Amino acid sequence: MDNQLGANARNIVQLSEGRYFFAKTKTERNTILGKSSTKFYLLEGNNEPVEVSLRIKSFLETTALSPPNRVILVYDMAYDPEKDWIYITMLNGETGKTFLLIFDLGLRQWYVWYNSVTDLDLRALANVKDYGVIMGTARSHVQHISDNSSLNPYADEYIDSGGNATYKAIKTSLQSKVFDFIDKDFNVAQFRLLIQAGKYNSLIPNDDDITMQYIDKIDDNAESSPVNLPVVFAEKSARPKLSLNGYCQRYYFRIENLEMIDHKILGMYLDLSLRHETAGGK
Amino acid sequence: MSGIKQLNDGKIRIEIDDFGGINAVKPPYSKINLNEFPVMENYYMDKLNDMLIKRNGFTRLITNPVHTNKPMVSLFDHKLSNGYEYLIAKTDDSVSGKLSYAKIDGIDPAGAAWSDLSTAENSGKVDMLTFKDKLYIANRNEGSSVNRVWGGVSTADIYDMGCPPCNNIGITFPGDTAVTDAGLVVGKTYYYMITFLYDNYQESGAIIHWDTYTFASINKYYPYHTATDNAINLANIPVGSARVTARKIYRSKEDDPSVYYELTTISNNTSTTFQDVTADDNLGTAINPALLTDLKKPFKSKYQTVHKDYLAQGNLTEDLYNPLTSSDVTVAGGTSGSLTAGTYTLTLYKGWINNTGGDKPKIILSAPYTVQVTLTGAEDSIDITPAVNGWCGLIFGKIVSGFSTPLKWINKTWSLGRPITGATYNVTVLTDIIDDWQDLIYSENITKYNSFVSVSDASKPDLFSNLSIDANNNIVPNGNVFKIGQDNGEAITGIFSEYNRIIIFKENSRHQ
Repeated sequence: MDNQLGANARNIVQLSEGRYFFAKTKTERNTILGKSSTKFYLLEGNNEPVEVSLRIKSFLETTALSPPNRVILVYDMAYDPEKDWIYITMLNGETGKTFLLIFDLGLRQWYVWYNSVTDLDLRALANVKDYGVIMGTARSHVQHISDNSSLNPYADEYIDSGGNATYKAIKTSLQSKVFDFIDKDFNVAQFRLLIQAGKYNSLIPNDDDITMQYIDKIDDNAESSPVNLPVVFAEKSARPKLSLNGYCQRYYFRIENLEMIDHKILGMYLDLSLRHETAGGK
Repeated sequence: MSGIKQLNDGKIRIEIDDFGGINAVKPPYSKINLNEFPVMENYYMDKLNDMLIKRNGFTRLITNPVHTNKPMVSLFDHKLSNGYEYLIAKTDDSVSGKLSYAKIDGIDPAGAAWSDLSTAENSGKVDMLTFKDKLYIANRNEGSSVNRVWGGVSTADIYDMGCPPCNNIGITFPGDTAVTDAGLVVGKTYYYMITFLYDNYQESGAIIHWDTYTFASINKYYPYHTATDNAINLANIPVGSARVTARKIYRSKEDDPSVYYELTTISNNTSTTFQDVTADDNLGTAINPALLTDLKKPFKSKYQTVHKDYLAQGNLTEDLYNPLTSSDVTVAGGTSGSLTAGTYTLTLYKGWINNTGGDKPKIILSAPYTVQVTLTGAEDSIDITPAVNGWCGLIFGKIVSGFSTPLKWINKTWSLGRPITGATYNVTVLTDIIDDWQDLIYSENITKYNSFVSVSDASKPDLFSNLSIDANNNIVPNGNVFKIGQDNGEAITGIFSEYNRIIIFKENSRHQ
């Protein structure tokens, strides 16, 4: 079978006739100010390439290698036409481990998939029709994304040097944009999540909470201590809620969870209240 | 539904149920930027149901590792038209590596078995693609192995990319035969040239030569002068490697080796005999013999793509080739003979000259290069001496008078062979060409580290003529070629191409 999709070099994938997705990395030699400028572009037809990675610019910069290289490395790319996703294995400069960066072409959305076991270390990618994008690891295994019928569909399988397999629960994290409250009269916020909780993860016998964090000051960007919000697994829906009171100009919310498997986040709500001096104001 | 709601007690609710964010909130003119959620770790969006879903885990597709504890640097799904499907893996341990394959069609992949394709690989990634049902492997590691092609049958079925030429020297003519209605003319001379067809699409060149006047080892036959012996038998027709799927036989018309025509195709790699009964008028398409003498070298490249049904290579490691100029060759007459005194104009066709000495390699362009030589007396040959050392691939030349013949290399000297009506010339057979076969690469004006391409089919030699390079060694696209990126520290690694469109990427920064 002829393969007419010719763009299979490491930093470019051909999506269809006339459609390409490619990475572009610029080396910044400034050891102090230098930042990674790895960018991703979509080229369609005879148009000029369009950068599609602006929304993760900050993420790409912070995961780049340390100076003087300041380059985030793209190991490999592959395209899954079934999902319309582009998979990218990249090196996290901080951890020295690889992760999957996924670009959802249909939604123009980016996902970051960290391994639950960093030593899993995904490297090479290939798309196999029956199995989606498969991943070669640093330990020479070929892995894929398990389906719901697999033994541990919500945990990553890790194979040690002796060939023994273990499963590690996947930690999810969700971080909102920063909310700027310009008007000081609106400084009371209530953040809500609507979660459809799944099964309890037996691999992590811990509490049932979902952890939420937030920034509460603009001055030093110090994050608050994690606030644990209970999730009742007996119910299919849970609405954890985090309320913030007091004077603040910037908030962001980060949600982390290790315990719940198969959970879905159905919605996110932010309530703003007028500031009242007697209600926790400055 | 996203929106702003007025609640009791002066509260305002901003609902962001599609996970949007808001940059600045300043009621009543709150800025709402929907559909944006900067970092989602281990989630994906289900747009249909409007929710975020935790991802599934990574698990083994194949139970056993390819190369225990060695990183897998390249992975490829190789599908054949017969339904066979293989995973190809390149593993690496920074010193050496290996290529392996596992057949996965029709079985549970968990039990797929890895077999070594090559265990003596250099470290580094490879770039793979399927083309014409073969696996082409471009070795990204400069200075290492040449590109390879795998037939998808067994471990032994892997070869260097390129097309070793068909050595015509051993062809014999066991005797003419009388065949009723055979079309050859008694008393005339016919010239043959046989090539290999690799992988059912890629034609090799041919090693041919002119020898002494005895016809024992030349590619022509002079039929016996009987009224009925009008068919020519060919024997010892060469067979090639397992990549060779057919042999093509070309033949001249009577007494005129300047043009060859398609005679027949032997659709196998086993038959060694053929009987020619074809009259001149029934020959096929005329072929420029210069094309048939192209020798297709296995090159080293980092990337490859398919362009217009050609296999194109990017980031070749070969050095810059300069066009041939008058200072690169000298021409002179040989020893005394029957070529009469006078000025001869030679037209040199494309060829390739490697370099093992200190000089840059030279290339004779596909456009004819004309040079004149004056013989002051009767001589038996015209010698052409390149001003470079090493292997020479130029094998075709022409005297404008209509004479056309292959050139021979003798101790770094090419000799123009015996003209049709001339005397005998004593030239040395260039046998080492068999072991050191090379390719004609249409690679004038490339630079070492920038992408360019080679072609796989000599019949279409001007494939990438729409690229050039400026004084700063930047590739300059012409016509329908489109380029992204400049030589300013930006690294885009890869090439792609389509009909009427090529994009060349440069790499001069860090890459993996």
